[in-house]
Amino acid sequence: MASVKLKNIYKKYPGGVTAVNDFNLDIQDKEFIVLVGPSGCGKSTTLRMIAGLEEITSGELLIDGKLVNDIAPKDRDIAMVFQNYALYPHMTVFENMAFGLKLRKTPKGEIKKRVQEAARILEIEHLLDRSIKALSGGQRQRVALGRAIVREPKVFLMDEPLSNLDAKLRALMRTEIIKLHQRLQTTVIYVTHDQTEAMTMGSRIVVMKDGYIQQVESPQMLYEKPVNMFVAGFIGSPQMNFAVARVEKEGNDVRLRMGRWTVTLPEKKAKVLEEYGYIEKEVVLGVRPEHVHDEPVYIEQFSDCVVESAIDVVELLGSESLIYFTLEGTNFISRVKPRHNLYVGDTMKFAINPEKVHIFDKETENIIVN
Amino acid sequence: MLNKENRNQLDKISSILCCDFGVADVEGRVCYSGSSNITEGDIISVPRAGEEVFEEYDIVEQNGMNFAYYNMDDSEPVWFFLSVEGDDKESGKRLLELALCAYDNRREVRSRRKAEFFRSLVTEGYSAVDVNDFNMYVGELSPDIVGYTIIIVSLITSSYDPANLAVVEEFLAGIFPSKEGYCVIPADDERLCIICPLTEENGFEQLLENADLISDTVLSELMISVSVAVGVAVNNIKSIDAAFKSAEKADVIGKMFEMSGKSFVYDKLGLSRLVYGMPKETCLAFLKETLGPSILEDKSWFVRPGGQEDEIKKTIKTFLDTNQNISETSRELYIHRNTLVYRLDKFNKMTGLDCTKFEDGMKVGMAMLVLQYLSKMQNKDNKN
Repeated sequence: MASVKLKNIYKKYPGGVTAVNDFNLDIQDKEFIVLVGPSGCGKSTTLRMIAGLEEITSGELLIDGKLVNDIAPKDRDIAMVFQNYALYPHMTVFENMAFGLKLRKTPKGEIKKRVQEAARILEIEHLLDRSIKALSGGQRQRVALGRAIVREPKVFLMDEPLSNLDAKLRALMRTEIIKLHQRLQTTVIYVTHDQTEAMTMGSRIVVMKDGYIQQVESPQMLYEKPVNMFVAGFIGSPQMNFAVARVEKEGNDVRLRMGRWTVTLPEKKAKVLEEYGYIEKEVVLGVRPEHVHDEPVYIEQFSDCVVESAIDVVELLGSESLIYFTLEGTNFISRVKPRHNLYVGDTMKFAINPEKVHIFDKETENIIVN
Repeated sequence: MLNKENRNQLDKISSILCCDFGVADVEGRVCYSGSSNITEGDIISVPRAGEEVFEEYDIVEQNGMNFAYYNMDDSEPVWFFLSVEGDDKESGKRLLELALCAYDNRREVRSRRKAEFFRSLVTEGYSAVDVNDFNMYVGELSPDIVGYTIIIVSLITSSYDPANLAVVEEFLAGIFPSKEGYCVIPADDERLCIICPLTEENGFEQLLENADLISDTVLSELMISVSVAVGVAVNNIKSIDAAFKSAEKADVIGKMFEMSGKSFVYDKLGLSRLVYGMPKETCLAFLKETLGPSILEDKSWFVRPGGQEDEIKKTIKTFLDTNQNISETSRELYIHRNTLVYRLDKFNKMTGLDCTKFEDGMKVGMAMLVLQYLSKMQNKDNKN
């Protein structure tokens, strides 16, 4: 168990490309932190620098307060878990889990003890004598985790460990890894490009883009208070609706105008826009699909935030429906309760919940007010 | 459990010891005896593990006999046993230690000779090895084998350290065991080579699955980065050098074209292999014809060492990799589909090629490979 601290970390390649820029992060002992972002954002490079597989160009990496920049990967007391099962086909489950320890010349008694303990945690004690070929996908994945657990590392590094699995198994293993973290009480640094994985697993999430940290927050805060349009769009599925709007003031009311439609803002948001001089300027309105309502009660409640459009597409998902429509040339999605009387081409009214509207600066794409 | 070579070594040690000396499995069945008092196949009382776990070289005295726990070549644990006449237990123990030492030394020498033999066979070919050695080492292989291939495991520059090679060798010998017919040997200071037997049950495709696991496994267990290349399958071990050469080539081509996947397989190099064989002049002529002369003058189109790709080039590559799928490409690059369409249009204006059309897409894909090849060759020339 250990804390990990990254101070002003840079990774620059000889050709002049900077893969990671001024990365600063304090990871607490026993924390489950997720690095998430699109491909090429620098998340795997960061993980590999923590592992020692990539040299750090500048900055300091501390594990448990100890500077480890120049310490060999094998001496950092960390374990990596990859997407491949990486099990040895000629060995039994026990031998697979024991193999790494055997190579490290761990005494046999200790190996037996650790393997049995890891098997107990993973609930695979009954499989220890089985051949790898006789295991299901989920069981194999557990054995692969077991191989890392027996090493009793200070920190677990997981690089997209579930991306090779089918959707059902991925969901199952997600839960398994969360439970495992609770049982082991160890520090986990997890890399994924999948925002659902990040949201469901991390106690904190680091969103990255182009080698820069965009935001570090808990899943809920990230969802509710994104710092810019990238984070707002990346987190959440379907993604947040964005539309360019003009800020108008009429009397005490401040409205966002999109063509002939307007959204009247609550006082708090209006005040911020006014304070920062956005009146008569263009901003970007962001609203999550679940805050674009079709029920009459909302239409009535937010009567000065109602828009009307024809339905482009309806997706019936069972527990909910997604309605796709276009507003002044911009695509919108509304997530509503499941209904079967929604037809493409029908004109519908939607109420945008003004309390839940996010407003971004059009040029910088940074948040003005959440 | 004991092959002819093991027995020869034990015979030599036994002839010097002149006492009851032999080897039994962990159940007590005697598998070698150098004394007329004990017959092979007899069951003798050996120490039992129970709660206690034995380590290799542990020496235990039981019923007047000394036992040493030892792992044979194929990692099967056995008991070496030895008893001397009289009550001098200490000298019996010492003799057994000496016997183990002698056996270890002989095994080490044999193992070095064997590795040297296979290295010559693999890298220089059948004509370079001694026929007697060939009969001795290759004669041990199983008759079920229908073919062979080679996996080359190379340390990646950042992991380069001679000590790492020895660690990886020991590791690979564990997952590619000699008892299954595999042989792991150093090819040089930076590369290991695994001679892989192919059987009806475990054929080439099965082997590729195992090869795919190597890089992740070595990385997660040893924290050492390696690359993996697989050669062609050959029918006869006398032609194993052909498998080695093709694996070497796969390694070079795979790295040059930064191919995706966990291992570079000679038979799956696709167009990259074709481009690799093309003369430089032909490559340049093809680029000029396809992309136009202006692009050749624009240095940003060539990959810089460790460098990031030009935005449009990266976009085109991803677009072609995703089978010209607009939605998937924009998702992959995390850009709006309109941005993608704009970039594709821009490329069309620059080159006259419409990547959304199959024929143009194919030409551009080929041109990308050629560009990558020329860039890498140029970087290599600059380094030299």
